[in-house]
Amino acid sequence: MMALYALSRPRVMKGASIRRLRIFPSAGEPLVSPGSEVSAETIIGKYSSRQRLRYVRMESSGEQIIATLLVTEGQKVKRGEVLGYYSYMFGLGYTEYTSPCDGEVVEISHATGRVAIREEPSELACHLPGTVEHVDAAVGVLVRSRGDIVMGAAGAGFARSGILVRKAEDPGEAVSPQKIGPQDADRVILAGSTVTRELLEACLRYRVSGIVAGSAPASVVGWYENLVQELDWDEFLARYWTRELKKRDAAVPRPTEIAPSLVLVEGYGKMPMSVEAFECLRSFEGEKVFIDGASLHQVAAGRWDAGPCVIRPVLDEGDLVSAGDAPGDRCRNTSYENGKRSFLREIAPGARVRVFGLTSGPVEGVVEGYVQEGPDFRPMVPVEHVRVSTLTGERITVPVFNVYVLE
Amino acid sequence: MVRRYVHLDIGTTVTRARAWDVSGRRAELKGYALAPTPPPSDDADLTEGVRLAYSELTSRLGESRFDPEEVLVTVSAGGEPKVACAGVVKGISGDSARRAALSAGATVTDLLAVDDGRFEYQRILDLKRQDISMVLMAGGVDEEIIGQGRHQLYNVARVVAQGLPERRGTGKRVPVVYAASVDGREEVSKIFGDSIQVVWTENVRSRLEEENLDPARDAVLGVFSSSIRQDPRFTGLGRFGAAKVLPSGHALGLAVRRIAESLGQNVMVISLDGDAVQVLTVIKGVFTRTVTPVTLVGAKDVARWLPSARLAGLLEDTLACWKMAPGSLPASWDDLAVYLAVQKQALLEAIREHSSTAIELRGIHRQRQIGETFQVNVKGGDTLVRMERIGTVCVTGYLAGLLSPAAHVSLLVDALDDHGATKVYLDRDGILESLAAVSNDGAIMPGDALSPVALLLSPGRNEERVGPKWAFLRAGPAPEPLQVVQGEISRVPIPAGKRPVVELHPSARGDVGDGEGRRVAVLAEGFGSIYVDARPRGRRTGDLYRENVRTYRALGVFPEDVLAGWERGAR
Repeated sequence: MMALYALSRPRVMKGASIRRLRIFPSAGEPLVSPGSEVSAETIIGKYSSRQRLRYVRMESSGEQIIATLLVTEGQKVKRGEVLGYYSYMFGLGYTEYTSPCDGEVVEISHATGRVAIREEPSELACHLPGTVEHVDAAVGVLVRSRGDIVMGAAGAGFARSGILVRKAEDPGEAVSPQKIGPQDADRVILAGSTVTRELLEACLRYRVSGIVAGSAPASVVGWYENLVQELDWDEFLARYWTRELKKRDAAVPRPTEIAPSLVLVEGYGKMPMSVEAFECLRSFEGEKVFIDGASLHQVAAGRWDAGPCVIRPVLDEGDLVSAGDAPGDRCRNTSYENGKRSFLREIAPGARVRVFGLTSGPVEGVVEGYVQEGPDFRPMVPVEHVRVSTLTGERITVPVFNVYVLE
Repeated sequence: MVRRYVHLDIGTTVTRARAWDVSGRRAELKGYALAPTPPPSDDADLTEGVRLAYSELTSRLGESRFDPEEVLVTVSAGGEPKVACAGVVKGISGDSARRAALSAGATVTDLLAVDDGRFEYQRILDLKRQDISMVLMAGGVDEEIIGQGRHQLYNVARVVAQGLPERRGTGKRVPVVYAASVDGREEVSKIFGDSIQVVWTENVRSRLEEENLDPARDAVLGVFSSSIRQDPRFTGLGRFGAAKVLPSGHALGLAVRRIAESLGQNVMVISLDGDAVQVLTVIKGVFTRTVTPVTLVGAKDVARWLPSARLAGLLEDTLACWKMAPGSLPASWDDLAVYLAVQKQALLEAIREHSSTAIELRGIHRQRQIGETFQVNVKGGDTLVRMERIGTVCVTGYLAGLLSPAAHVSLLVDALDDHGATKVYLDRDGILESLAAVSNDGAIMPGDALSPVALLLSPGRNEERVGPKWAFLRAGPAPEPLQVVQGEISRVPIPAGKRPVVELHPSARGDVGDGEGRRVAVLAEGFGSIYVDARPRGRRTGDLYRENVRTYRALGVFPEDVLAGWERGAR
């Protein structure tokens, strides 16, 4: 039998060259150019929301706004600023109209009672130190860096960064929401096995930057993905009320930094994190890491790898130069052929693999050998199978297409 | 003289290599090999799997000298060619542009139109963010395009001009295929200027009453052929010399049209590609192709097709995990039950999508009778897909060679909403996909290479009105009535020997394909079984698990001990 090949999908890569697309949630304006050095805090661009114009409808009668207007066209306004008020019933009734965002009043329509505010573009922080390789105003900024990566199988949320703190003792421990507190604000939490909705709510409440865990039920990830897309600051304050954040002069976070980023290393369901990923993440403890739940990965789909991941940047001057110059040495864990990354690896006996199925979650194991047919269901045409010894000691025989090589 | 042809298909998840020996009107599959396709990204070589599959194919054939007469490469990896369509009115020129792109085997990433519910700046932004290889623009008729119509066409052109993204690897903007009003060409060429490459072609709707997709389709194919080798992900195609490269969907479409021509009747071909379902039809001479991704199916819908509550319990999580690796195949009977449920739901959704795409043209002034008011299935245009009018269904694609004939029948009877008599064929060797490689001159009839699987008989939604004298099998001197049991599907073996004919005798108001009250006779030669399906259609209620087990038992998809285990809840 010929050698069999499968897709290679490493879970952990150390000292890897990284090309990461920092995606604008909507088309934006880059503030950096190719070759610029960027830090985690660098603002790489600004973008306007898809809506762009926000409207406030005031009380009007006939062709006239009867509320008292406090702004004029062209005036800059801040979020929460009073645009006008309407007092009625001899002062017994009172309505105040406030600006929903920072921006500029572009139109006051007396006929409809609408005040149109053009949103101030939001800033996009890089969160990943490195060198700008490519800039595309429509899509984002491609940053080249070097570091250790833990690849996620699934996730939700936008890119963030923060100091990694470990909340689980081992990869099989599920972290309780009670373990999250105000001290975890702007940190990345290393949780163990499974993330629950309650844990995500606790992380939202205490303004955690990110959570990395083994798995979460698909229903929880679905709920969180919708929440991440819809949650604005007002909604956040309404749901997760905190006194200090309600103050008028409290800093309003950037739209992409309201919800924590969630990265699941294994997938959906209830699975512990692999020891390999846990140990790698444990080594990041106390260091600043980049985390991306990849809610925007569809924008980059087919062009750049923008899937969920956690990155510990390891940078010095020499690293960045060599990363661009020597494609054959870009990453110790990745093979290249003719300047192209090779995604296929031979499934030799002894290879570490991850096996996907239809009735159980992915399992990890070691290839024992090739077989011609599966034990149970047999396809009409022969499909090569491999026998895998799983980490739990079970022996399974699966089609070669169900196998991904881990290294 | 025997000639050797090789067909290499770079699919989204799997790359396949097939060697065909062609002699006269016969094509014989001599060997095949499979390899995974890498995920699409800028630094990936999507032809990596081709290299492996090709070398394995040559070694399997074991011939010292392997020198094929022609190598055909078909591509669907990365969704290529990806086309954004633009039209003036979504349901008229927009849909025509979409149908033209799909018939060329393309993936349509977006449809921009003045009535698509977006602001102009949003259309521009959306187009800028697309990863596409071209834009196909339609809109306006060739004559009497006046006032507002012309103004809207120019607006669409301005959106395209401002939003046109860069072509991968070249730094230049993607080309535009202009298949819109001839009247508007001069002004549109000014809007596009010199920096945009425009391929001018005939209008897809030169008159509202006519749709002419072929020139636009050919223009899309031309742009694809000239640009695919410049795509950095496909530079590996160079190792096959000047091999012809076609979009996989287009190659299949050519075969479907040839079947329809040779049979002289309406034909539906379903390509089960594992991660997507393609439906291609030729109905009343109109060719339509649609593609539906399997990964969009929801767990709740899939659960309706499972034979056991135990399998449904963890479905949401296991299905989400499977979507991370959609090339995974079933390895056990439980796996197969879930896999069939996923494919069944995907096929159901694919047929629905196809029904709303294969429609009579919109925008035509048409006089309706009052009685027809509530008969419209699709808003704005009646669907062409009426199963009683489609006598032949053929299943092809990656799964056609993997799943058993009984499994295919189970997919079709549940997802197809079949009505009347439907002949089902299986393209196990993949001749339909390779036909463009092995027979350019039309010498080979694809029908000769297809395996007859089953003859489906179904009264459709009239099952309660069907009596014992609805269907007959004439294998001897006298016709024998076929039993139609309401709520059941039953298998009737066809005796070997004489040319069996199945006759359907509908009631005065019943229609089984030839019109109300008209009888239909179907030659069942070559088929081993008739499946009489009188199960209720539409909303399924009751114990669905038990019902699914009953269907699988009647069709013989799973062994009896597996079915009994599911019934007991033990397995």
